[in-house]
Amino acid sequence: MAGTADASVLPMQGVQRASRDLGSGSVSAVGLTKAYPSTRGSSDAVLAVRGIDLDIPRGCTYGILGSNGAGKSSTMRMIACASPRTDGTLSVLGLDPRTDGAAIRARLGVVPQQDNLDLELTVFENLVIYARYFGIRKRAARDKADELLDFADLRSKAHARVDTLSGGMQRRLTIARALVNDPELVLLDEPTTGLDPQSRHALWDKLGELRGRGVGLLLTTHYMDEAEQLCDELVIMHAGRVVARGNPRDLIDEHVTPEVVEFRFSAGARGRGETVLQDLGHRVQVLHDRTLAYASDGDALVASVRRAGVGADSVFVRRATLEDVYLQITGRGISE
Amino acid sequence: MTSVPVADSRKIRPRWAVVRYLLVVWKRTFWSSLIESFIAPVLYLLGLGYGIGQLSDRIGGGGSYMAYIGPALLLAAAVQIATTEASYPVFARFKWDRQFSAITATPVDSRAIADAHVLFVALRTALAGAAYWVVLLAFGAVHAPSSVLLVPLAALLGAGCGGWSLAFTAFLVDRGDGEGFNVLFRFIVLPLTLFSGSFFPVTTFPEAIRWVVWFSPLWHANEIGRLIAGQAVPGPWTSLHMAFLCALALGGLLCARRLFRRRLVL
Repeated sequence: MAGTADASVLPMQGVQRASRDLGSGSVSAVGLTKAYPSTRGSSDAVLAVRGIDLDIPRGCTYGILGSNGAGKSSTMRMIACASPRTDGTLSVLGLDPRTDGAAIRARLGVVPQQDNLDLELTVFENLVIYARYFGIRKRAARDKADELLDFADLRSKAHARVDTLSGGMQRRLTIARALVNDPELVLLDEPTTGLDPQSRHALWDKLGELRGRGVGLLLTTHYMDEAEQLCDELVIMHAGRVVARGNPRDLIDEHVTPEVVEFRFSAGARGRGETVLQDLGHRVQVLHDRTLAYASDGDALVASVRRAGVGADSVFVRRATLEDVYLQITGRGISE
Repeated sequence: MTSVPVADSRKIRPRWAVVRYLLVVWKRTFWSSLIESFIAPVLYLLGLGYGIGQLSDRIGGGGSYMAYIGPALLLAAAVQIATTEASYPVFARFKWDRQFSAITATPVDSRAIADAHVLFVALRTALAGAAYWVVLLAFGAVHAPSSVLLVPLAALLGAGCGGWSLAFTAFLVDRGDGEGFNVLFRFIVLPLTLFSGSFFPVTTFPEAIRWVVWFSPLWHANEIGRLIAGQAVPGPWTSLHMAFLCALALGGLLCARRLFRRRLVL
């Protein structure tokens, strides 16, 4: 068997073996649509996802980016077989969620947006009880829980009640819990929202560890740096639609110039400054406190603006990011 | 770190997995709930059975008041425990701590969760009923060996009331923060306890409104309970009482399944 040679290096055989199965994509969707029935008091159904296509290869780290209300979570819930689709086709791990929900869920790991751990139980109990929902026998469940304590760096807290843990620890436990069944694909809905920078980076390391083992990751985020850092490929969603797709570097190359200059013009000079930028032939994005100009050579642009005699309180030249792609496509910032 | 393959030899019993979870949660309060299961009946039997019994036994009517209310107290406790277990703790799993959303991300579905909760409530009321029965024996409030059947009767009544309460809890999830439980406890459980022939026969009601007790699960259970305790003989209605309780349990289960699904599958 092909997997045995690596078994000593990779601690999770099940995951390793499963990810070798490269038959079809892990998620593929065509025209995927989700409408929620109208709430009391209004007659219209809410269209959260408006016909999106997805093709996610196995073992890939895939991102869905978008602001709040873009339809990310609804998409995730459909893929997680927690929410039936309204229209379109969807296949997850080669199966249809409509008919094989339980069988798919048996092979997925789900990290929800908000932790839903059992606060009154201990860290260890949370892991063991969760394993039982997958039909894992008691002995194996305890061994697995024991292994995951190391993964989550929570060994010293094994018998502490969950409500005594910090936010970052609870998050790590939620992720560890999603791994009790050696999932082939882990869904993470905004995994780092609400965490301090240190916990965020610790979590990225953990996700990197999973990637290294060949576990497929599908994550939503509204942090652009997170997407650039973690994702092999991503889609950007806006108002229920996919508005761009590709790998992070290609998206940046395709939609924006290599550099971005952020101007904070002096009082009164802003209107003139923006006219000058446009006259120089640069694409301009006006935000409430600053003006962004896209350029292949930022320093040259700054020099030209200075020559035109426009005063700026501050000028900042940086490399273009996904945030700029998002701004270009949707016309507004992702966290607005 | 050792390798732990878990993919093989999986056999999913979703209901039992959830019941086992509920048992682990219960374990935290097991001893206090067990002690309470003994103390409550002792207090009721002393206060009502012995205390009020002094008055009523003087009035007469055959048999002691303690024996009259004994089985009824046990069954009233079953209603109380079943509705309590099926209210706030379950509401929390839906809304406050959201354990149900974690469980439904696994192969376990909303139906298994509903079934497991009904099963657990039945188990919980059976244990409380057993404790009650022991106290009744000690007080001499029951004698007949058949009175041990009060325990399964309590479980059936508990499953019925529990099932409907679970459905009610699921109904309340997107309607406020559990204020609706006041309605359940004040306007359903309390009147049921007082006016189901537990403390005085329903024949004291005016003839015109006596039919209302037919809607009370506790009254049906009391009728059978007194039969089991040897205080009454089987009548033409006996099987109807039993049928009512079975229908209550089945209806509650189906209704709980339906509302759990509506709440957990969006």
